[in-house]
Amino acid sequence: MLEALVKKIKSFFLLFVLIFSYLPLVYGFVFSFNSTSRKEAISGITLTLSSEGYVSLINKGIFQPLVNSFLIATIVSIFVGLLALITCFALWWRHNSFNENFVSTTSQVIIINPDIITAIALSILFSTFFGVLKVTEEGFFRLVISYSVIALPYSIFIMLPRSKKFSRSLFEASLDLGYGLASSWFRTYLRHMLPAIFASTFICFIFTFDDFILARIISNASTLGTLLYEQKQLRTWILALGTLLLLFSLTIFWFQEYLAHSKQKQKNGLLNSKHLVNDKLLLLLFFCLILVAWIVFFTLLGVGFSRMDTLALKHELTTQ
Amino acid sequence: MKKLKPSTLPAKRSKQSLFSYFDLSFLWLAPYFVFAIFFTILSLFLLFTNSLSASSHSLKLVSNSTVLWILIRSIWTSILASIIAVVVALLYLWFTLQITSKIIRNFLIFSLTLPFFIFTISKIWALKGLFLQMFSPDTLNSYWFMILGMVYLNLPLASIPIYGVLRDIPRGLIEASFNLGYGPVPTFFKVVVPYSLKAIFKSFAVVFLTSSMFILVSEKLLPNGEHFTMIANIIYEFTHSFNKYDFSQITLLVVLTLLVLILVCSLCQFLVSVFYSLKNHRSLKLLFGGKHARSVS
Repeated sequence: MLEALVKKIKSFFLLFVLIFSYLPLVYGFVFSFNSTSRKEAISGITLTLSSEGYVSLINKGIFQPLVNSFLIATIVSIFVGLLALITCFALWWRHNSFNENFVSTTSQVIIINPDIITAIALSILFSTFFGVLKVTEEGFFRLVISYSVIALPYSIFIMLPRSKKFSRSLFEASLDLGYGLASSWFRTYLRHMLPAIFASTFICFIFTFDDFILARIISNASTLGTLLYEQKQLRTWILALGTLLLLFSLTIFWFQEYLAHSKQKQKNGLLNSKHLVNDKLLLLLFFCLILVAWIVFFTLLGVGFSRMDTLALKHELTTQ
Repeated sequence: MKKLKPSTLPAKRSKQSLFSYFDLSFLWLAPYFVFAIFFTILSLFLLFTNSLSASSHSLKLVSNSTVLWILIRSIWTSILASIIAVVVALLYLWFTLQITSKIIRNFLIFSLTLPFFIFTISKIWALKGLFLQMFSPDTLNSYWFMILGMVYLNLPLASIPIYGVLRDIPRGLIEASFNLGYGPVPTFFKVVVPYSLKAIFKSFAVVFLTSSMFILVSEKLLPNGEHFTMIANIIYEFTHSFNKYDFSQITLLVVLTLLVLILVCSLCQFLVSVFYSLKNHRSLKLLFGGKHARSVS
């Protein structure tokens, strides 16, 4: 009797939390298809279906910020991934309590510090060592460094537990089989760390795309975050961006769950060798995905620029 | 079996000369050390020295009474929000981890952390739009909506440290508690909470500091947030002025705010840990009750 009641309370609580955290996202999904007024603001109360929100993603002036964000995110994720990988490998190779304590405390300081305080401290640092940023400069590399400062601790906290699980005998077996030091590092350690590297890349992208405080305080660069911050009214393309990101994350979860499921089946011997998911194939797929993403991105860019040109031409014709 | 020390392993190998490259492990750590010393320690040190170099002019902002009230407001709202967020995350994860089906469990945990990956500003607009459907803008200009927004935005952040500990809790510990005659509710308070107390403190600290330094809540979430400004809004507005005196003012405010926040946060944690240590104390077991209270006395 009591147990059944507790069970009911549990499931009700889980359902309540899920509804609480997903109702706004569902609202965003539905209202991203709302039509906009002339000033492109929506009231958010009445709903008339249209795809203007997604269309305006292409032809609005969000291309330059998007390119900026994408470039910054790429550079930051490569830099942070390398640095975190080297640090984790060094910590794995020699267990030194001082080094480990230093790494964990310095990264915890950054994680616990609010963004705005880190931003002010970094802006003081940059202005004392490299001079005050001029109005005409963009401050691109200052931004890259400050995003790396923010994202590096998270990346280390993702990679360190996985790096600790790496077995030393695997590395030595590779050496005994005649591979060199570097090639066995690539074949064993890097391969073991690949999921953590993907996760850290994902985190870097999220941080760079989401943040506006650092971009506003440290540099004059316009990124996606600052563009979102500057909007004073509710616009459909904001909701559309959120929806697209939601769908993207859901697909990644589904893909990962599918992979784990198929690996489990492999272990149980339920799949024959034809259905085995090849690691190399997976890597190839990943790189193809990135390539396709870049191609789509640049075609969209081209479409956007051509549209802007035609708009400018029209404007010229009408003024003449 | 005696465990081999990792440092003894390379010496036994014939490829000793190759391993000697790796022996210089400080060289591998050097990039991180330089990066952390320069950008973490030195930047915070410069912030502190900059605040100390302030003249009497710069005390104006700190000694302002409205700033003090704003600081108090942002502290109490974010304490309430972080307590709610931590409790909800703890209960949610505890209930979820008891589900036997692995796929449902993974799905539930993933769906709690998924909103973390979506743009904060688009989440805020969605929440605001949803509540504007139900309430008038005047009713939304209130503390409950502020706290609700903070809880909504920080729930994924609160769940991450707690999940790491709750996942590794030994099954035997809980089974032992059930075998000793405790129900699910006493087990939760006597086993699960003390076991994960450190992670709870950590997630409380993270949520408290981020939500008290949140710009967007009063600026974007509330329909008219002029009367509900947080301390972060004042700091953010002042950072755009490149006046030297203004900047020293703001650094003083930032450092004092940070100190106050850390003090409040550690005070809360101290009180909870004192409560738990007293509860286990012999003389107070009678006061709080418990099954074996009589036998102990």
